[in-house]
Amino acid sequence: MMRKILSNFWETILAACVAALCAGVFMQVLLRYAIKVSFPAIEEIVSISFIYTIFLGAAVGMKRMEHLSIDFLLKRVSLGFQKVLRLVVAAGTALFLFFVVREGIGFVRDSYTQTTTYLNLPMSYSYAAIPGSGLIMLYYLAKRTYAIIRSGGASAEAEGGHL
Amino acid sequence: MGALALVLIAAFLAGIPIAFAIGLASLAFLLKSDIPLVLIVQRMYTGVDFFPLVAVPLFVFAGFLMETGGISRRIVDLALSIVGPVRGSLGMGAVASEMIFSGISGSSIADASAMGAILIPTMGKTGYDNRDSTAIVAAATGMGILVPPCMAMVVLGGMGQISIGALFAGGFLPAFVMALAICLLIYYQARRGRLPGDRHAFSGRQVGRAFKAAVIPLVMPVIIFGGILGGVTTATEAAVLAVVYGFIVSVFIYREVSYAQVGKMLVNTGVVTGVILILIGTASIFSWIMANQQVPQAITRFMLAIGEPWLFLLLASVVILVGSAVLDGLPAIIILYPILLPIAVKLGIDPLHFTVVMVAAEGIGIVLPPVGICLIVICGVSKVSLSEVTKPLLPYIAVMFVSLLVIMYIPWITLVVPHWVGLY
Repeated sequence: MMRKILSNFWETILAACVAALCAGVFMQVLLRYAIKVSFPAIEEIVSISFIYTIFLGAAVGMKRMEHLSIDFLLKRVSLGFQKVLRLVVAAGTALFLFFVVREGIGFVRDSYTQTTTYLNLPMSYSYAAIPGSGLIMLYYLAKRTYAIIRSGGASAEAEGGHL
Repeated sequence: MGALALVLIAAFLAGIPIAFAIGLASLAFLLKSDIPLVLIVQRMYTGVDFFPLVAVPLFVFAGFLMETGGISRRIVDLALSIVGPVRGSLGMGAVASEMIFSGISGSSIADASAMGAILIPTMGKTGYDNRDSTAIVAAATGMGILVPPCMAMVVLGGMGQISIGALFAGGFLPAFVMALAICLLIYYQARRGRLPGDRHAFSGRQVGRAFKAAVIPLVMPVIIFGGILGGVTTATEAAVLAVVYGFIVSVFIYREVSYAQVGKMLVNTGVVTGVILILIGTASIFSWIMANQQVPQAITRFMLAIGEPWLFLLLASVVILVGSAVLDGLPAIIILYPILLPIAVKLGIDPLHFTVVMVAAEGIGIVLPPVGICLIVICGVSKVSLSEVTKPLLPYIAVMFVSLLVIMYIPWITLVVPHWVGLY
């Protein structure tokens, strides 16, 4: 059980974020309609869960290779060229993610004094989702690239997706 | 700007995921300019930090619960049983089913695959040629994107700051116009013997049985449409009520979904949300650069020089239609919409009408041969090749395009329901 949770660590956190988001919005609706009271603090929790759902979801999407891409060129070239193309794809994606992580860390550091209105939480908690997600994506990208280099374009394709 | 365009095209062609290709092209531009690179992270955050977008994961989750928990299946059974007495009824039933089902799960690819798997074998059993059933399901899938709750509308409503409830209301009649056009074509083809005239499929008892089975599932559309159109709930609130209702029905009443499956659905919801919304984040960098370089203003000046809003609507629709075919639907609209919307507003086009027209164009794009992503998925399900389906599909694409023109040039069709229910 523990091993399963650890191997799906990010998936578990992601599921918790989505569940928290659903519970938060539902609670807001209940409170608003049942006792006609609105709790903005719940909205802040929902907003943080939402941001983590997006960026963690994108990271797990990278692990599962579910990001949308155009693959008509990839399907029309030889296996050798496919391998080269996959490496180009990985390099291009990694370059963008590197800047996301680098700039994201600076962004988090610079915004440490900003806080949310009701819960007084540092905004950097929310902003940290971006470089954090970038790092996770870079990790899975590196793993994938290693697999491409070792096994070649054909087997990479058999596993599905691009990256 | 040249470097941006070049990197973007090369990245798309190489197969870099669309979200990162847009980010990479924007990065190439920013590296050559004196704009601070922190803009990348700022725009990625502010692009998605908009509360109405919370409806995206909620509708996706509700869609998964409906699909896996037997709710959609029972509603589809009812739709298929009702249209029995008309010639070509099963084809029309497929259209009706798509009206109810599609667009909700956030992934038109998943919807196309699920609906294709249910409808195509059923149509095959009553004598439909696989090529015809594939063409009908594809056309219906393209139309279904207009039916609320529609993920593209939630996303565009968030991006364009237009009431999502008003957009949902605005999609009703255009969807009906397109569905009617497809059904008329099915009827015409059935009369001419091109499709089976399966009138005998109708049975009052069967309708009764299907209705009885669908009573609990039918509350779901009442929650979603009734809440929003009645002005009782916002789109986000309706979405969470749909999640709670779907959860209770699927897990406790029908018992077709286990807790383990709910866990998987939560993860899948997160992934679909992440994959769609990170696109908005990177597209937000791109559209900032476009605005900074005054690209929309340049296009606006050009269009104002021509001075014909109708021409702009047509050009924008064709661009979205072709873009959606190449870029798998939603990504194209996410990239182009922020550039096109301000131009439309400057030209005096109603933003709600413009948004619904763009969604309709996207619907045609995702089933446009030979590259429309949903068409490819449906062909995969039916085991019909793209070249085989192209000929039977073309008349449907033609009637859908004519419907698009009707929706485009009669704004009343889009605006009457939102005005009527007081949402716009």
